[in-house]
Amino acid sequence: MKEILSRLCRIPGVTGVLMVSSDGLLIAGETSLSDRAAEEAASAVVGNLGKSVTGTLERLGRGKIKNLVVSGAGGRAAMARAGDSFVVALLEGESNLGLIQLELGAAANEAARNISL
Amino acid sequence: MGFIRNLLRNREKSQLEEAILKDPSPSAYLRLARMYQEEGDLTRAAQIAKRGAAKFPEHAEMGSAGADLGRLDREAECKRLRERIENYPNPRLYSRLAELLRASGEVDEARNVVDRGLRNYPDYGGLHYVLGQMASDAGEQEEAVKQLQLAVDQDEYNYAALKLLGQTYAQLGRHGEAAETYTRILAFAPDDADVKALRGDALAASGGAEASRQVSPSMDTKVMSTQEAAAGIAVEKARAESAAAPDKETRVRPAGAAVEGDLTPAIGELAASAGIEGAVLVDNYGLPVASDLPGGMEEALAAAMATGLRRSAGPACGEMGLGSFDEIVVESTEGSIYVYALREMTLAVFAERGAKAGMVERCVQGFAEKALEQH
Repeated sequence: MKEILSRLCRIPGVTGVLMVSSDGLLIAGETSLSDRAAEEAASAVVGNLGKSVTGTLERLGRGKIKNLVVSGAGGRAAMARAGDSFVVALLEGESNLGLIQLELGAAANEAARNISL
Repeated sequence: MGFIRNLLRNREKSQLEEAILKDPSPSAYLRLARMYQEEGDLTRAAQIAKRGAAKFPEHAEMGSAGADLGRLDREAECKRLRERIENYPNPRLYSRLAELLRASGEVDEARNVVDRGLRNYPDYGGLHYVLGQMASDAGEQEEAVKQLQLAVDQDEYNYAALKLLGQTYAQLGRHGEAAETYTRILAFAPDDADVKALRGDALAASGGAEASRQVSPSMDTKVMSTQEAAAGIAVEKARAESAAAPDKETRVRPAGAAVEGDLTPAIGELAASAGIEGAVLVDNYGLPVASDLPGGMEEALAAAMATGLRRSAGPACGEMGLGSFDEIVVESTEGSIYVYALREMTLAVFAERGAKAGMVERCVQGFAEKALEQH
């Protein structure tokens, strides 16, 4: 798992990566957030966001979540579903989102396989 | 040479944003707030100063900067809203202005604005919500219940009004009704931790302590079965209607479309763009401003869901160090949902599977300019 996350971190524009369970628990992380407590706090809100998105899609009859991108004034985060968990890449504002989403999707599939083994 | 100055300025802003996240200090907050103030972005300046004041409550200069910038931002926004009401009135402008005046302590003026608003738009729940807030501030809880009930009668998905109604019931000792009201929120925002906790407290206070302790996430659904069933019926109805008439000819237009004036054709134009199935613009209370949705998709439900996504994504942005929320794009097996922050309003766009993200963003930009200009 660590190797998968490290590979993602080496992509230009990616500043950190988190692997988060569906209930918001940190599985693994490699970020520039200040400490583990900050990574755990980020994981908790990612879990909550994942639940909220899943509920919204269900109520509106829009299928199952594949991935999502959240943007703020200071950067972006791309999330991809890995089984019941999420792989989250924290990105610089000007990063190549298309390329990162491709890599993130592949990493999420690999992570999902690893988890199910 | 202007572009070099802008470049250096933007770089300094990025460095300060980063410093605030990694090694926050009052000077970084103050400098960044001043930079936004100099650029005329008083809203962002006030937000930064407010965050700084919350982080360093003992720092006097930080505290006064937060208060000053907040006041300046409110004054500028009040001026803008009065001008808009003069030229292009709509009910949300009245409620937003009244809310700002209330926050500034100008209660009488706020009440005048609500009264004028209600004379013109008697069926707008947002104005009753502001009256409910003012009654609650004044300790007139029975009056607050009356106004908030009117607000939620107008819109069953009005999150803010439902939450305040629940809290007011709890203050009156009507814990059973408080729990029921919170349950109504959980029907469309099932993961709202704050409301779950409030509902647990209300159940415990109403003698349902045992039930409250035993409520698990799956049991939550059983407890709120009536509302869930209502939401479920709406979704099922929407699905059935979509299946029967999936084309754009059967689009849902808001009942109050005539009130919205200019934005209805604009959102219709956006919804007719390549790859886009529909869109809804929502105000800060979660109420629809304008919409053009695919056949069968319930407007109020779509608005509530868009608001819910924004509410969840906002804290996520903060904790992940992304700054204040701008947008979220969800790709699902059935298409995509784009949710944008347009000042205090929220825009949700529903796109087909395979729609070109770049094209969607371009269409949204055009609409956003119109929406911000008019509101």
